Amino acid sequence: MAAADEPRIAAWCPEPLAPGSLLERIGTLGLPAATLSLGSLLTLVIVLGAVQHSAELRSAYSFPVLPARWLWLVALGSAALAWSIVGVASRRPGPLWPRLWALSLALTASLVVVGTLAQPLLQSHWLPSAQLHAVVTAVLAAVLSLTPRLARIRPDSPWIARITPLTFLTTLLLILPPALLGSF
Amino acid sequence: MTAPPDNWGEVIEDAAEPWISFDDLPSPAAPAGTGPPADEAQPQSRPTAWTIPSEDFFDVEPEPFGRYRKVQQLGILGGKGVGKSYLFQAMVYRAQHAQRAGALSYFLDNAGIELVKTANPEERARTVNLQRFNAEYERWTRLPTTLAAHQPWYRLTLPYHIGLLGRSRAALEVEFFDGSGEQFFEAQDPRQRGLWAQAYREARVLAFCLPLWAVFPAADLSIAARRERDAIIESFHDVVQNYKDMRRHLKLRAPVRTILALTMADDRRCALTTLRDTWIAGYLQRPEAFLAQTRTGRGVARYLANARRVSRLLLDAFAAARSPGIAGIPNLLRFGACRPWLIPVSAIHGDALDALERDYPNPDDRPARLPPVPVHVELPLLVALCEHENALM
Repeated sequence: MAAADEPRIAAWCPEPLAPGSLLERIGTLGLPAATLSLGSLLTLVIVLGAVQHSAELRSAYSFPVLPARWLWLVALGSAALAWSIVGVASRRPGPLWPRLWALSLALTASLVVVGTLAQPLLQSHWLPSAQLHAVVTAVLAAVLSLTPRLARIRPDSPWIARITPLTFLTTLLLILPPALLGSF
Repeated sequence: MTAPPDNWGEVIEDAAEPWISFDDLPSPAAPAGTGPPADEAQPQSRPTAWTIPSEDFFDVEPEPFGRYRKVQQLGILGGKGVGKSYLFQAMVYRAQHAQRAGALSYFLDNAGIELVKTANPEERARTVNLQRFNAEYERWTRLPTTLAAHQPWYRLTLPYHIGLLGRSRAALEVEFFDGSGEQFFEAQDPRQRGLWAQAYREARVLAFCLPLWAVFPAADLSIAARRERDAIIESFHDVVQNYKDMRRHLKLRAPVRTILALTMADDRRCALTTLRDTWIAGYLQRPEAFLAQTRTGRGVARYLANARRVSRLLLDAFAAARSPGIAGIPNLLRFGACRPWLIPVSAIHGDALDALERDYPNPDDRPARLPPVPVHVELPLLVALCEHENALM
């Protein structure tokens, strides 16, 4: 009965900690809680760098799609999402640094909300509009790339290895083209 | 399979056979603290905490065993001699110290696990001395067959950190009923039904045990081994049928995650030699390296990826089986959730145990040797942890 299956198992059966293909190695750099946090940090840096990389963008960048007067709403949505991630993730077991990143991001998002509300009132030079718009965009991207932490993934799910690369790429594709094209 | 009699839930009032009825059980949806007070749940004759003798004070639970607490019930089911007790024993042994708990190390707190035991879940439980509990296993002493007269309940507490900064503590509490394979799991006895419901009605993760060699036997199996194999497969179907009957008659709709723990995966009577040489031997021969690597998130992620691959290969092997009784096993174990996760495990190295028993019939004469290496037994606990706390995310 089983003899026919043995060659297939012989060809494909791994050792418990075999590294697998290149894609699998990328997907298994860590567990989703940690890799999504790292991906979120990278997203923040990449998006912020992209929307502020030239002098033109640094002086005139504005959040795409929505009128500037609704910027606070985007910031508020990001903060609400970030705090919900903190709330859910803090009840789970696991190492410290993904908790710290979720908390840091939520605090940053909250500060950005205050900034968006205060900026029109202050009209000050220390909070230029282009930089504020850039930070709102980057924080939104970072929070979106951390959002899959709200999902439930079981240990036998293939999504464990896929969710971080997929989220990282999808977020960048969703945020960067409109952010860059909408600014010109 | 014989059709189940239709008197499920009937209250059996024979004092000589004090089986509980379904109606006696607390509601599974009742949150902690909403059930009757512990004092009400106890018979009036039971001593209160003030009257407990001092020697019992420190190892008696202050409340009935897990009835009014939020616990994750991990059911371990299987027929006679398939290794249920060994699997639980090996799980406790593996989890005893967080740094040596395999894939659980990443999550567990160093405070250490706790195990309590009771003869009846409605009674108060006693803390188990883990060193004593693991001593026989560590000395390679074969566990006796579980008898109906002695079917203990255990609750294993696995502590971990939670909170904004990880400074608070919580725990996964896993309940396990060590039932007799022949006289409880396989038996289609109406008197056992209250016990079935008590043990498994609330379980959300079930590990069905079936020896790997019985599913995929080697071609040169002896006649005696073939008979044993046939009996194991038949009893497995009895166990699954009993569980399905319980779900049907109690109208249970909640999805249950199932694991098919393919026990005794190191057994040489199994035809899947490559699986034994890679998946089992890869852990068994280098346990220290394995345990060190699975303390990291990367190690756990790789381990889970490979465990999934092994499960897929085995699902294909099941599907290719010529006997419908074998080919249909994975589908039998779907209870409202996706298909079962197939995990070949080895609670103790069978060949080494056999050789020791042959060479030294008296356990006291045995020379000192390294303790057994339980292989992949932590995975069902990891499933229970993830089911309870979504730990991977």
